[in-house]
Amino acid sequence: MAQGDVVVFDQFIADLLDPDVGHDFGATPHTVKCAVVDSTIAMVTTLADPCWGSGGTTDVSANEVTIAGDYAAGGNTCASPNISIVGGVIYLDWGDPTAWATGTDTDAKWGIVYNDSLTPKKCIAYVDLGTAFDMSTGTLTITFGTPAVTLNQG
Amino acid sequence: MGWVTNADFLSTRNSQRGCATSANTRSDILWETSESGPHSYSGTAWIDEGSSYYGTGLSGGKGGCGAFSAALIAGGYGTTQQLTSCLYDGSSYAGGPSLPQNMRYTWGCGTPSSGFWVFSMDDTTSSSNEAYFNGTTWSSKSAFYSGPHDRGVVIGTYDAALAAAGATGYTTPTHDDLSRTWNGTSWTSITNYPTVNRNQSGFGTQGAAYVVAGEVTSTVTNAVYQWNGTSWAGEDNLPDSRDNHGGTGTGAGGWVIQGYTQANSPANPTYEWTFSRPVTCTSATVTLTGAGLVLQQPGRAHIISVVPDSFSDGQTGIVINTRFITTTGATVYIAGVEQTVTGTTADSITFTADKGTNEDGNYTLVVIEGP
Repeated sequence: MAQGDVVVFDQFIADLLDPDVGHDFGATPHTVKCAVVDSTIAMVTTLADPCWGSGGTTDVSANEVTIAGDYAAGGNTCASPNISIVGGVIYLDWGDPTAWATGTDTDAKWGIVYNDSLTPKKCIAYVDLGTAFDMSTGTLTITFGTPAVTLNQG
Repeated sequence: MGWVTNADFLSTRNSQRGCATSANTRSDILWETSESGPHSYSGTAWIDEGSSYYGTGLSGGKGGCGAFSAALIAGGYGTTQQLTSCLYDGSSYAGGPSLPQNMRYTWGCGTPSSGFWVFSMDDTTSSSNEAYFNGTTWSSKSAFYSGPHDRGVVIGTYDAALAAAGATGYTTPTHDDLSRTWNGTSWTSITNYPTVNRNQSGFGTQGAAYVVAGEVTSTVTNAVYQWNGTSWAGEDNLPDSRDNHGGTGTGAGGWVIQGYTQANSPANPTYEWTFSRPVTCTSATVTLTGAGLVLQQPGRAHIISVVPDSFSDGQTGIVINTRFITTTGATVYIAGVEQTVTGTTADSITFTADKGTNEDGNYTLVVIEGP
């Protein structure tokens, strides 16, 4: 992986097919957030039922960076999540989280996008932040692609 | 982490190295050129602060330290400025005591209350090329810097500094790569700078010092190297090559201002080194194949997966994961032969393949949902 790569969790795709999970990116979308975790967790697309907090198989929040400075627990909101279909391709998009200008954690490694409205808070995707980043040295800014995710029919 | 291009300086006119002072933040930048007085940076543009110039005539090659609101400037190129020092308080200058020796093409570090100046073109004996300011008076240090005495760079504080490269001689300079650290009392040789160089700039701390660009014999370079306390390592190159430029910053960032290009033309771009981490994401693409195609079929009922997806005759515990199928009472067929369903949940059917063919091969699996 390289810095800026976004990978969707397999579990999220499965969850989209399960109305019992209930992701909603429609007219009144759920709240999507982006949090930051450190390098002590190896992020893979096959991570077992990743959730932010308890309720799933993997509690990704256990590896959240130190809560300090601009960085508040749970990360920042990604505004206006939405899903659209253009030319037979499905787009899932969300806004960029507000940058974190101050912090103390020394090995920020992954951005974690999750649905903050669900119980449990199901993870959607992760972002490679590059080499471990010392949040005390400068601002951490994550700018998602447009769209953030494309779902192609094979 | 890397270079960010900021607004161009207001002019390129004869902008031989002036001096820059900063406590890292943009609002603290003070840049004084060889022919004009103090300038600050608003975050988007340079501002001519309009205060009178501290000396008279040309004064390039002077050193500076501090911040916009409290800066120490000393030395420089000219007929009267080589011994001159002054303090700037954000609005006006106040004359300071004279340096203990002429210091042209010098470099300063530290703070206005404990400034440390190294390198002097006027030192032809390598015995008087450093000076210390205690907030009131200047003095010479007893442990003289015995390396190249002209146009190197010194980074850090009065008691924890690093000096790198430089040259000996002016009209026919001998470029050098010697580097040393200073502990307030004595110099210690460290690994030589990766190239010979002079007229570079720098910023940072003794243990995380960044030396930027400069003149490698006859070539102006954009190479940047960092000293991490143990060794030199290449960093992102400056966006363009230059020498005789200003540089400033004491740890959390750095600036490079003006200078000369390879063609010896004055330049006015300004660059900022940032330790921030901008992460620009690529769009993730998920391609749905295989079972995903089931989603495109008419109707809602479908099979998600069969686990395991291959099995032997007589194998037990085979699970068919389903959606929108009435599993209660469902029947399972392999090659047209009904198998034994052993259990169901809302979204799965478990069966034993106990009534299939005895031959290896691929067979059609059919699920008929319950009534």
